[in-house]
Amino acid sequence: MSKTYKAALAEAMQEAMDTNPNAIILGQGVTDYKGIFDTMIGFVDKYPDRIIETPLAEDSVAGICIGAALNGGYPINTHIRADFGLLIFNQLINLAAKYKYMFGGLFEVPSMYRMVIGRSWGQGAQHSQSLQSLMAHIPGLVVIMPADPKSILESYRYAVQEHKGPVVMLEHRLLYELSYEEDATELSHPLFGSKLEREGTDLTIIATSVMVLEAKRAADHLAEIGVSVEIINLHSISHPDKEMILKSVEKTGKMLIADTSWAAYGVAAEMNRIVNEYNPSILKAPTHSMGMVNTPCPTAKVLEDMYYPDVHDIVDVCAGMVIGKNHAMALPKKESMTDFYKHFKGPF
Amino acid sequence: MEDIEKIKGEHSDSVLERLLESVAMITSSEALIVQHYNEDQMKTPMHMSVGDESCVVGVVECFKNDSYFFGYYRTHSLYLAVARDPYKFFAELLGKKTGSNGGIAGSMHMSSLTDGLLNTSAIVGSTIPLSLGAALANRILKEKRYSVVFFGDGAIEEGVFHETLNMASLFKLPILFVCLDNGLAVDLEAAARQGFKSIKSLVEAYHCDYVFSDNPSVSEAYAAGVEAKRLLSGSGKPVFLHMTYYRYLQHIGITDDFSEASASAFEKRDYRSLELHKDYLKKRPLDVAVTEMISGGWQKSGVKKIVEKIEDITLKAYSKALGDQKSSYGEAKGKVYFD
Repeated sequence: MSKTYKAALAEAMQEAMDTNPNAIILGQGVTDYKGIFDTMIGFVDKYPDRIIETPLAEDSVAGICIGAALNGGYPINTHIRADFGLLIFNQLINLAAKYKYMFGGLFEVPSMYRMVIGRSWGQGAQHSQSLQSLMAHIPGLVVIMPADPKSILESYRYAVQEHKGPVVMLEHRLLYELSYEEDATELSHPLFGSKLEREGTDLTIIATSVMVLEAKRAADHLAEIGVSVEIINLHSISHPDKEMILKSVEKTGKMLIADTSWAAYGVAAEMNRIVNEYNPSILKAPTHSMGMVNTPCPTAKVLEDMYYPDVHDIVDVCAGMVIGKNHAMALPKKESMTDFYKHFKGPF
Repeated sequence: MEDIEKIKGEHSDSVLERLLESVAMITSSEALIVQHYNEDQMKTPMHMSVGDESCVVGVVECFKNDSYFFGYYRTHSLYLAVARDPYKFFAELLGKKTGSNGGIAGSMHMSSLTDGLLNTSAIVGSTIPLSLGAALANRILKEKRYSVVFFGDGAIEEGVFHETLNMASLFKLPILFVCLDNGLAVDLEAAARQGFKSIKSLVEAYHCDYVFSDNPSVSEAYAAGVEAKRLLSGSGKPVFLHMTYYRYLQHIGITDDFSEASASAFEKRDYRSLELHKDYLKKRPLDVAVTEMISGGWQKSGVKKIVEKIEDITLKAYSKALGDQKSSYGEAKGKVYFD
């Protein structure tokens, strides 16, 4: 049975409200008829006391979440664009992340912050940012980028039912409408793990969020030209499965990081740190970091399409790393990723 | 440490006696800090409470059995008023395992889960919304409990103050906002910082009840607390309790503005007058509390005995904490969520 990304989110939210009578959802637009992009339609009628439409006050609302968590609630705070999440950084980083440690282990603040990464149709510089590495940098925060419905269900359930600290869920808007076939691959841990998406021998692609799908599309193409890639869906940005990463790179000797954000000081840098601190000699070739162009996001579509790397770039880079820079292999055509995903009908 | 256990659990029938004990505990504890800080065993930046003892003790005494407390970086009086535990207090300042927070928090983040002191924070204004979160959870959990949050007058300039007051009023939540107003942000007076008409008019614009208490004695602070609680219980609205006090020392550290030591201190020296300072030295909170009790009919010797008892307990607590084992890195590390 196939399921969309947003249907999984709705299911996860429903489960949170049903399994935890003290769960509350707070944010701007939580009672809106669009229900945070169809992930909580009708919730306000069903749980009128626990769905809280807030004024435009992100910083305070994050503080309210911490206060509610301290007092036995499970707050879920929504941001329909991750960029607004920047307004809660004081509470998230100075308080929530440090709460348990700073007070000598006395308190716990189980809570969830859902932030949606915007993409396409001229989202521009302030509606499209992928801020995972900023947050994963902070001890005490768990930062997740689920790439498929199964990962959503497992990680949200674990966050609500088991985890006693703040979790940031970075959901990708481009994935919301996509339908996925149920698959057998498993996360090594819902919050502190990654997923081996595809086994291969020539090169390891470590990908995040929507880039996992691009990597899979690239892998199909590469297989046709005889290049076998292994794909790791990083999933947990703050707590990736290091063993899985090292084992894979040790096998293939080559590593490409395909992230949704900028490369410098980001996920790509962290993957390189993990491998190099373990044993740089497992690498048979220089690594490659693939991310957004090192500028703010442009609005014009023609620029936006140049800004984000895609399947075309992944195939080109992988073929270069495995066969050689002048590989002369046929590449998938350079097509707007947004167009592709928006019009894609079949399940992944 | 039987004495400490006793003082913590003791519920004297006399409110006045308890108020005096708490004020004496804060005053004597901070006197010990001043005496020993330069020995460099208490390696933590101190924002001293000297001057706000009456305000904090009065309010805490009114609310301590049915409230959650949130504080700011000037934690000493709040922690001691709520927890009444000078031993854990000193152990924390000395970086000992036995401290209120295992020696990790230091002066600026003291808290106590068992006593309902859920936070103190070094980021100005940051705990104000937490008090609303706790109040919101109380409503959902159907628990009758108040949220009481303390902050300085500088916090009123922060965005979260307005955001939270707006929502407290909108959601009709029983939160007591306690503004401890010493008129200074470090060394900058209110007129140089605040572009609004008055705190009262600002707060009332949010449909919040307003109670004012000008440099109260501890019993006057208690009375203001009682009035605030009456309003909170009746209206289902937040209440703003505005209390002024004189900050005897500088924003941070153990020196006043006029001693030799203050020459090298953090702040400039000429922002307050020596005359004013001398005037306030004649009405320190503990002295005022003592005078009040005696004029209320208590025997002078009896009052003196209460103060001496507390001073003795405080000194013993300090000495014991001094000998305790230091906090260790390994233990501290396990207190981050995950690694």
